[in-house]
Amino acid sequence: MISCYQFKNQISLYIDDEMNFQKRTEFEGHLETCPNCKKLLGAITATKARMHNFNTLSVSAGFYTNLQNRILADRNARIRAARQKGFSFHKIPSFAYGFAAAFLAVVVVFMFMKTPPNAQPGALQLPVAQQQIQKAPPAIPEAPVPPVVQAPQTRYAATTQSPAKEDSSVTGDALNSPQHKENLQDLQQRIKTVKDQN
Amino acid sequence: MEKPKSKYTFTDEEVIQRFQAGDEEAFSEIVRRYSNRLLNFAFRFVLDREEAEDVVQDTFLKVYQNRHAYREIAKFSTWIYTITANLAKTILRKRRNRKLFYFSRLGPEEKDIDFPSGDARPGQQTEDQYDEHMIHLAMKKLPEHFRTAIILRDIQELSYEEISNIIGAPLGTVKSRINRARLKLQEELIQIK
Repeated sequence: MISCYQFKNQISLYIDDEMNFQKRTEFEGHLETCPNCKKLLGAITATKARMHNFNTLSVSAGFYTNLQNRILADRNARIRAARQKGFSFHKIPSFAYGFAAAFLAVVVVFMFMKTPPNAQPGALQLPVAQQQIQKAPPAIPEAPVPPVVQAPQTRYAATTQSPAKEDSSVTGDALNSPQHKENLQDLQQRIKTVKDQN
Repeated sequence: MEKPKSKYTFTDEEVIQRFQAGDEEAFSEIVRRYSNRLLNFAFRFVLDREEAEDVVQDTFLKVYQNRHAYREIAKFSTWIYTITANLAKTILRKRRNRKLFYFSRLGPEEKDIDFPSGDARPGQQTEDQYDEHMIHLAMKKLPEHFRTAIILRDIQELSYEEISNIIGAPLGTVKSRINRARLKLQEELIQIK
């Protein structure tokens, strides 16, 4: 014996004659004992019959002509499209532009990330060799000054040991310049050092 | 000698094969056979006559353009009904989206549905139209997949197998869906009354 719940779940199979003999017998047995399910079956069957007898529509008078015109228009459009040759931006699918934009963005980000972090913005980054050249040259130790050697006496030497006459070409400004005096003092100090060593 | 078949005795599958071979008259035969059937199917779906005719015209246009896409794996009626169902669903979807933007404007479903009047006695005609009107109102409230199933089964009278192929659902699902659709339709009819 089936329940009302089972009856409702299978009512369409009964209406559409999709049940085997045993099931059908159980169904009809329940119908005899349940007025609600019997009423439901009657309502569904009546609705189905009304839907079957719905007034049928027919296509309008201009339907076939319109259809023919549309088919012809479509055929002409296809012929025109087939005749177009050569490159056209319209032939490029829209997703290709998206891919191109994404690729460009990746390249830009990659280039940006490759920049060293310490570099100042806008500063020109020189190669390492050039940076070394621009640094101050290392201090070169001063070469030792050779001892002063007196010039040998020659027949052209002066007979009297007179101080060398000042070269009249040497101007008084050059002799009195601080640089000249500094150089002279430095030379005298070195001579003294060499003598002490000897 | 075998008598040549009249073109009117060819099966749908034979007619489409002739069309695929290049016989344009075969296409006219397809249009003649299916135009009213598809119109009634589309009309029960979209509930607007003009849109239903557009759907049917689009269907035939697609059949014309894609004739070679049909393979004799399934029945031709399954193929053409599937195209119509998909086009009708597209119209409903567009209508739903239009409603979001133009909610102050009535769409076709808010208008009174203009039902065709058949050749019947005046009294019976009124009763039939009243019942038909009520059933259509109740069907409008059904979910789309229930409405599709009940239209294909109770109005178009297609078999369960064909409906299963058209909507792309297993046979058990189709049977269950039709059963639930009929029960739900009765509930809606009781509420309308």
